[in-house]
Amino acid sequence: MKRKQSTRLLFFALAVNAILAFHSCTSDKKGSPENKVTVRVAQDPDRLFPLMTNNAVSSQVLSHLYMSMLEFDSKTLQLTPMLAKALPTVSPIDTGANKGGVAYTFEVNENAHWDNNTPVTAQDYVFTLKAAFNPKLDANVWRGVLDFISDVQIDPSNPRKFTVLTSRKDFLSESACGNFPILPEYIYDPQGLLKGISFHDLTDTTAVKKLADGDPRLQQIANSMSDPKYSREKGFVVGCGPYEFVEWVTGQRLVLRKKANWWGSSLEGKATFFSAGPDEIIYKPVKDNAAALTLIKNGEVDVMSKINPKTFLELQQDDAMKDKFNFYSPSTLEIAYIGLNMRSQKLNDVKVRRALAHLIDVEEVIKTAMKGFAVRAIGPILSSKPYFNKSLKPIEVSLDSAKALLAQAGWKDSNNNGTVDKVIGGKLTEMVLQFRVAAPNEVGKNIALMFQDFARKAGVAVEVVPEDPQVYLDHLKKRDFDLFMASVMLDLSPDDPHQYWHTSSDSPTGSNRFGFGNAQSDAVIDELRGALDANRQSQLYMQFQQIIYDAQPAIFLFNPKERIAVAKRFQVEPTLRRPGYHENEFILK
Amino acid sequence: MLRYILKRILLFIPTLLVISLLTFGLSKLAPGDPVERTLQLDPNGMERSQSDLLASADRYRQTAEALGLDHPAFYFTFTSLAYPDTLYRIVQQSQRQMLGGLIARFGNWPQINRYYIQLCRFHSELAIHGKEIAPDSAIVIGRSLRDLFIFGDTARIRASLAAIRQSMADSTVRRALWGGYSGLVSSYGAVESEATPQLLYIPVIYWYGAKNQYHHWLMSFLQGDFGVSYDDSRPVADKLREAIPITLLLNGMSILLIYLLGVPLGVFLATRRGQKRERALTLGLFMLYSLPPFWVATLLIVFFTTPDFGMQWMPPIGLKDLPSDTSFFSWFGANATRLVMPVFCQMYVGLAFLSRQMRGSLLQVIGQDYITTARAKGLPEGKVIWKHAFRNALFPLITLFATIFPAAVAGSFIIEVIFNLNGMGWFAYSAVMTRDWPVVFTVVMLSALLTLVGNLVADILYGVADPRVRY
Repeated sequence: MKRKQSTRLLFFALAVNAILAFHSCTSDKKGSPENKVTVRVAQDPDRLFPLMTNNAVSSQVLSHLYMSMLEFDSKTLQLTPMLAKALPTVSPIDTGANKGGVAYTFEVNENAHWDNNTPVTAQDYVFTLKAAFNPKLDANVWRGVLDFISDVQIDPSNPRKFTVLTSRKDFLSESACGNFPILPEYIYDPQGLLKGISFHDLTDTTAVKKLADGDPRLQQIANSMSDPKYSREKGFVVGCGPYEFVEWVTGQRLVLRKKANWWGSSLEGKATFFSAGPDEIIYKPVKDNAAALTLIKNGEVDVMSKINPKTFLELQQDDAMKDKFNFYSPSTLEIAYIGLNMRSQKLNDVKVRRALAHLIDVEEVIKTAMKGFAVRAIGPILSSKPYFNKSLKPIEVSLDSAKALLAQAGWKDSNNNGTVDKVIGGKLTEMVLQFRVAAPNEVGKNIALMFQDFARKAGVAVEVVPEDPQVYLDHLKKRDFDLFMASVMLDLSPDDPHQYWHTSSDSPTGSNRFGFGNAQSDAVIDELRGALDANRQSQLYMQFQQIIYDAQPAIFLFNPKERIAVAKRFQVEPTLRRPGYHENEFILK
Repeated sequence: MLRYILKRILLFIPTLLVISLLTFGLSKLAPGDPVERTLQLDPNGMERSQSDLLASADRYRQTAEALGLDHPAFYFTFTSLAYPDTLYRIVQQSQRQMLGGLIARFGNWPQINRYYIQLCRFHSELAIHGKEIAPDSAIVIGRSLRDLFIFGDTARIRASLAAIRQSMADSTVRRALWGGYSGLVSSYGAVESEATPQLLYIPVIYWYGAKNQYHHWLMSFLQGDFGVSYDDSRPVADKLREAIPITLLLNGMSILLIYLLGVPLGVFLATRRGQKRERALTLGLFMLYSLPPFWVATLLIVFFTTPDFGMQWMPPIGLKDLPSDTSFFSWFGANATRLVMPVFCQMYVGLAFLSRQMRGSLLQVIGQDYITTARAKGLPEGKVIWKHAFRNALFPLITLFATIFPAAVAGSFIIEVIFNLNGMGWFAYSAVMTRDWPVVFTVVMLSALLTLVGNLVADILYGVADPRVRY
């Protein structure tokens, strides 16, 4: 009797569970036939306050909420008016305090409006700059980019027109002063605290110090802007872009909704960033890659990028996935390289560095580690850029050339232990190189191991050291490495070699970890920064690439292709810009 | 009993203090510079192409001050006489480490301090006169100077000084920088020649008082202010509030199921000892116990949530997107099936363990004389087991409670990360990975507190279960 009862109970429990599961599965599968796109992101944004973030996911989300004066069109890849009526008029400054600088005159599009229907004006531009230059606000990202701006003058007869004055000529200043998100003053400074402070004072070293020490308004507005509500609450995350912020549940979703009467709808088609296809964009943070794959397989997410090359190939061959998804592999703006420590005694001879470059079969690396989803890189400039130096030829894998170069540099296996050696400072030194890789970088680790294999044949012993990203970074800062695996993320603006290749960036926290550079290379980089003439710029770029090629401070490997899967119900145009697609441009078929 | 509880609660204080000290100490030893992290330097070797954000000394100092890192780490330092009591005032971590390296070798802070001052002075001179000298020389001197600010080992310092000396061959350089250079060389010479390594063996305690980083953190913690996350500047308490309910629900269900199923299962196994069913169940439980939850979780996800194997019986992982104002019951109704797999993965090891413990404990009790007496008296078997034997076999259940109670709030990071549930485990995992120390401190302290409370409750329950237990 009792057994019967317990069996019944068991069946009942199973039935309830089955019903629940069925109910849940079916209700989940109802999914969203609506015009909503769910995008997998690897993590939550850090915050949605544009001046205080440089997090990739934040930037992706913010690009639909805020607009700048100018923006790069993802189709034409050209700097295009966004909030501006047209590209700025540019005129050199020949007199006054900013002599030698440049003046850029912008006019805001007369249709541009905030959500409260007030127009976007020059005052909002100035307010945003003031906020970015507030020394009490942690807006280092933008202060660093905009530090060439010395003043802004608003046209007294036209509140939408203003002129940005720069203190020096800089080939990046047009894109920089036009390409940062404009904040609505009425939201971020409702009390008008910054109104009484002149922007010029914030750019002047002495005046700003006085202000920082004596004016409580700077601290007050900094405290207010740093309040988390400006980073994650509806009504406080407000821009003039095509989407409005709806909600953000940490670890679960971040939702944007298309604005009903957005001022830019009439401009759709003029540039890609004026598109607003999906009614809702939902960002779903999923840390674990395997978990993210299951979500895409069961249709819980519509878009996933940065798929591991091997998995991407498998997905492309999976019939169920082929039915539901399209796969894209557009080029990226990334270049992967092996950095060499030019100041290490073992690598300070260019012949040795060139020998190492002969010891890696880059084509094989692309085939094996990247499964073909990459294009070979020759130097620090992408081959798609107009000023790429086409005369530079890839350094081919050649054991004989490597051995010959090592011998020329004095590295021979004198003690027959299989590793070449040389007497340095009276001491026999074996060519044992430490190759540091950040542990989460799986592809990097594979490449390092492949290089280790190639190099061994030429008598170069390579110790691959995968390490915690922070430890890795600490070692790079102290230049405690021979080789390191890294990649650089470029953008669509003209390349500025200063950060990576100028000797002033050869500091502990600087990016010139190679120890590269001399007066000649610095002169080229400095001249390039000030060159506004396209022909001269091109010449200098060519010269710069040749210098890098000759000095071999790094072994440039490849420019990876993005790996993206997008639900078939959307029509998509992949793009060069991160993350390889623009979800606002998706069109429901 | 009350006295015992009070005594135990009083013992919480030193235990928590020790744990807080250990956590705080470890955070100081962990690699990475919190100031650079706040200044948004990329830790993954993926670098920006924007202009260099690297903080100037001023920006670095401001950030360090904002983080409270311009104060000593603790109330006192137990060190050697060779070290000054003011080293913490050098906020730049790399420079502090360089000076620490020199002190550890030469033990003469006054000379090292003079060398550091000369180094800063020479750096300023180079900034002023850098444009007057040949660019190549300026580059060599600049690089060497940067090395001198990082490295505290003699070989590198000598090499850098030699490189600067070579540049001095140029008369322009000599004219502009000789004074600074000679000051630098002589001050470093004094560091080497006037070394006092014996001071390294004389212990000393420097007292800093309450104005230190640990005190500030502890006092704030005790007042319920857990600080602000390095990641997104949000109060840690707000982030905790978001994460705790999910973990409580997930682990509450798991614990409930462990006890609801584990206890009868253990009794069943004990009362059917040696039977085929018992042997089969025991084998099954051992197998369950030996399967790692992360592996089972991954298998379950792959098999039951994707169409790959034709068994897409379960809903996708993660929680269903519902409006924020959804009531708990509607939320639970919508997410119940999504919790089935994580709850299973969370509970099966505990279930196997508890049922085995229950079985063993009950078998011991069943073998005792008073049970035989109860049976001899003709009591029904159910009454013998549940009324007489069960109470005396409760100890393992209570012990297990002490273990799983803290986990109920602290969460399981493996299960939460794999199933994409943003509970406490997921939260703690993210914080540890990003070295978000304010969050890590809070989670560790909370877990420690709950462990202590769990142990105390278990001790009290021992007494309730068995009146022979005396406090």
